[in-house]
Amino acid sequence: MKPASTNLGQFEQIVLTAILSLGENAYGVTIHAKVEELSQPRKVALGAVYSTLDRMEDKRLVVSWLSGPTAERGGRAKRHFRLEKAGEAALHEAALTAKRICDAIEQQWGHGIWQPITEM
Amino acid sequence: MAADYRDVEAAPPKLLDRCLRLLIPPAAREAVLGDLWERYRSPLQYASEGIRVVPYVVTSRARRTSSIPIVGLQIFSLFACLGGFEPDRADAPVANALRAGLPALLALAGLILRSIYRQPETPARRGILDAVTAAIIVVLSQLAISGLQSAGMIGPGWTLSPSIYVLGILALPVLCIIGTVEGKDGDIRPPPATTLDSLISDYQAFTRGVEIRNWVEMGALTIIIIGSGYFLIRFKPPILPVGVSFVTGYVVILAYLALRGWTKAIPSNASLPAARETYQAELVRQNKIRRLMWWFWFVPLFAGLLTNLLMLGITKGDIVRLVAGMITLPMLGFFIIALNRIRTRNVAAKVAELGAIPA
Repeated sequence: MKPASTNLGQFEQIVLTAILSLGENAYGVTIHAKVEELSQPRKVALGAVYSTLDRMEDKRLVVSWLSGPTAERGGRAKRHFRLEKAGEAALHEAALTAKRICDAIEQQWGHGIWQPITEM
Repeated sequence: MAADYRDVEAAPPKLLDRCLRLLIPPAAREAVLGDLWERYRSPLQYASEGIRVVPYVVTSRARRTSSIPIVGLQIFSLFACLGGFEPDRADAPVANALRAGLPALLALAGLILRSIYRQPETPARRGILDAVTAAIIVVLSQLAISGLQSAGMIGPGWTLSPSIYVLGILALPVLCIIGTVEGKDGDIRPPPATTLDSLISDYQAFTRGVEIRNWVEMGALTIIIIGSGYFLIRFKPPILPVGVSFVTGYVVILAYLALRGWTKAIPSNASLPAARETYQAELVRQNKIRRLMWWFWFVPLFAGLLTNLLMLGITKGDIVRLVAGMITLPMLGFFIIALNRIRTRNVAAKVAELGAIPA
């Protein structure tokens, strides 16, 4: 059965993309760093990433689990994240929409879409 | 990426770490403190980052552990049982809504904070601790108000009357029942069943849960029957016949729960499909009982809103009471329907989960 589609906000799309690209190493610190990298030049609060992760876990888009404690974290565990089927489907849908938007803009502007707006 | 922040030699000052530990809810503490530790560069950076993270984590926990129907029913129960909907006497220096509003809001804030900072616990324990928390906050708020009155800092009439204390006691079992709503984040839940053995042990856990809830509900009903009986005999309110019929109704419900509230046992030689069928049927039957119980718990409150707000508003031409009645009555119904909807959704998910076990 095809999972029900979920409309994602832009920040949720970025967080899901971060989890997807980090694979096995997706936890609070790395997800935040990746989200900042994807959101450039915007700064992102670590707390905003936590609350988005919680919300997406409640929507069953992602799943989390605690790993064993490590010394470099003061003996504390990492909360790892992985995409669920519904999360993958929602991200796929968001990517298709983004692609359609890019194609439509490119048709109007030519290939300038990938250049910064000031240089166009 | 993580290595950018890491300096194994450096560690946050212990006092700072302990302060943040207190502020971060237990459910998120381990992972969030670990992340902050990993990003540690200086005490100032650690403190400022920690302080900025706390509001997000606390708000997220509040959203996950409470819901609008639960908070709505809690505030309704507290406000009503502290006499907030009672008509004001002509010579009363302070309106009943104000007298009840302050302790009710403080108790609600206490309940929300408790839900954010509680450790994982069973629903029955959570219900009892919720009721105790609310009771302590109301008593402390009354002591504080008495102290302020004695010091002449506020005028007379802000403390609750003795008759309201008796009514207030009736809020405790209702708060306890609201606190036992299953499926909240942070509950202790068994892993999903996959074999006949795990299904039977899951069913046994469900049976224990039903038994505990049944005992809690029967205990709450007993307290309400005794408390209401005492209130009716001692204060002889104008709604005495209505009160007596409510108490009789609660006695009937108590008898029904005592006879039919329990789950059926799965025979020891039952096959997986038979055991699953019994489990699914019991889930649906218990859900029907509990959905109905939610309406029973709030029948007196519906009656109180009808008489004290709507009817009084019409007979006395009090537009404020009339409008309050027209708003609060459907609102109370909405909270109960919303709560039942959440419960039914959880039961449907559990029934589907059981249906997915290979025979």
